[in-house]
Amino acid sequence: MFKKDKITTIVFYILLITGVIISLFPFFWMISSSFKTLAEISAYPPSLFPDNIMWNNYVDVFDTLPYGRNLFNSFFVAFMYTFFGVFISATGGYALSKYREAPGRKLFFAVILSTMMIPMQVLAIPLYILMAQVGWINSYPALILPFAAQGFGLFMLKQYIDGIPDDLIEAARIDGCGEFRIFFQIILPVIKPAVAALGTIYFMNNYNLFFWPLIVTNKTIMYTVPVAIAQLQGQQFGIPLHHIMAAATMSTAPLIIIFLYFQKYIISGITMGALKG
Amino acid sequence: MKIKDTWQKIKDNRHFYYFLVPFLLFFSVFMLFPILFSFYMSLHDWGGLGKATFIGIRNYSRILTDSTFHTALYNTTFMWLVSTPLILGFALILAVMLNKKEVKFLKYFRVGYFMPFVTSTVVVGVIFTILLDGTFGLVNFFIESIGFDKIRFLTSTTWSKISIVIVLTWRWVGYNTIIMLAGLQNIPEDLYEAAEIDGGSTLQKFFYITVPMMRPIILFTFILSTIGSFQIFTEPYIMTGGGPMQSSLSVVQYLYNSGFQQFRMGYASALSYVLFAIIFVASYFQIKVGSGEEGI
Repeated sequence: MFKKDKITTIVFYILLITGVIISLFPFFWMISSSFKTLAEISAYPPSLFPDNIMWNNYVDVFDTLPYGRNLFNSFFVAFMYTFFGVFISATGGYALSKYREAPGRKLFFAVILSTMMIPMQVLAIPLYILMAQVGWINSYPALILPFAAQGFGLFMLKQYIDGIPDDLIEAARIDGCGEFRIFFQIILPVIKPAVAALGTIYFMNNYNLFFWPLIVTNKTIMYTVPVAIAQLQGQQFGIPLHHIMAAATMSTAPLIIIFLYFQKYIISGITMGALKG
Repeated sequence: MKIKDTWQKIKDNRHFYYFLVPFLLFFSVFMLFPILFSFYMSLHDWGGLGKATFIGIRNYSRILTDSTFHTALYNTTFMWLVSTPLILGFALILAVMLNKKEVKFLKYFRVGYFMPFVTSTVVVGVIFTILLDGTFGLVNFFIESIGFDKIRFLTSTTWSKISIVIVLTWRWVGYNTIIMLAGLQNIPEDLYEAAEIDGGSTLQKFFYITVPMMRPIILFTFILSTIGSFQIFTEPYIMTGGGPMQSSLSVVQYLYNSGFQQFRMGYASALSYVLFAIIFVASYFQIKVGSGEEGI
């Protein structure tokens, strides 16, 4: 009996570890390839580790692309998007949650909820035309603003604020606390975990977004990282795979650090939606 | 009298509007207006510049007979129907394995499995482009070393879709595992204890307790997968460009090509509405069928 248990345990861990290896191997391959020469990447049979470590790839990619600017764009846009998006969801969620007497509340809520299933592609074409009309193609506002008002974010923060007892707000009102102060000094600190969860999800999604930046930018200098990498990959001749891999590694590393740091929040953000849905 | 009352109510609750206005402003300009404008455009023939001519529902009837759209719809449905059971099946098994309290290094396993989801789709696409390459790809090296012929993953019409499915599966298993793990942790422990007292085997416990209790969560992940699958764009765009011979062209890439390469804005808008209808019907149908008699 004991022996059988031991074998089951070993098999169990072998399966789990195999899975993790499959999950992580492509990252290893990306990093390993980013140190190879172009010839070595496309050599057959492939080599597991680079013959010579080509640090140059990490320097040269800044000549192939305005990659410093691309990285800045990605970070700046994702940060601003997250800040705006979370802020307006928090104020909006608070309004819908705690002013239950306000006329029109139900209607607003229903309209916002009903748009949650609309795919981004339905919006892309009219938004592109709108951006072109106001001269915002290749601009930061076009990259930051259009998807800031998400029904998902509003809904998630409203749900969380619903859990805050009304007495807390009433008590503050009796003490003569103004409505805006209540929001900033009482509500915001209480909903911090939900704000952090939504914030990390927004940041990640926006940092990785491809479809919209691809449409709304056509100057290399305004590209975000995914569009810049896709641009190299899409070249007709002599795709610089070694530079692509270096660029990919550089753009992925910060995100993984952010993920490891905010892991708890990302996971709670994802599961919050699932368990309430 | 009534109007006066309402006005008073609005005044008393004026902070509701102050707090909601920022969201509402962005929402109206960048969500509501485009949704309506897109529908308006879908009834016109428009190249993006110049005058739009009203053509009624002709864009929609054109879609019905557009063979490229049919190909794209077939490809997308194929990727959805093949990848979803793979993703959810692996995710459920993994979640059950990770749900044991005595699993060592659980935290590290979770991080490891979740990593693909954190990475951008474009990066995932370029990595798999070299891994699956038909001549120098590592995967083909393994295939050849166990005695089979190399597979032209990205350049053959049979394999291009399957390559996309492989990437989708790799990327999405971890994400769904996290959701399912949360669901598993909500199943009361005593159900399993009762089954153990009655002598239920591991498999019996899985099929008679875990699966029924997880039904709402499985349904939820299934719907998420469906919505996501019909919006596939980046993977084929990066890895195959939709080819060879449109064999991996997705609905969204066709939409993109129509709107932003050929500048048939009206037609692309109609396509986007058809896409939305498909997603809506598929999700609605799944909720109806999936929730069954209990409802959720």
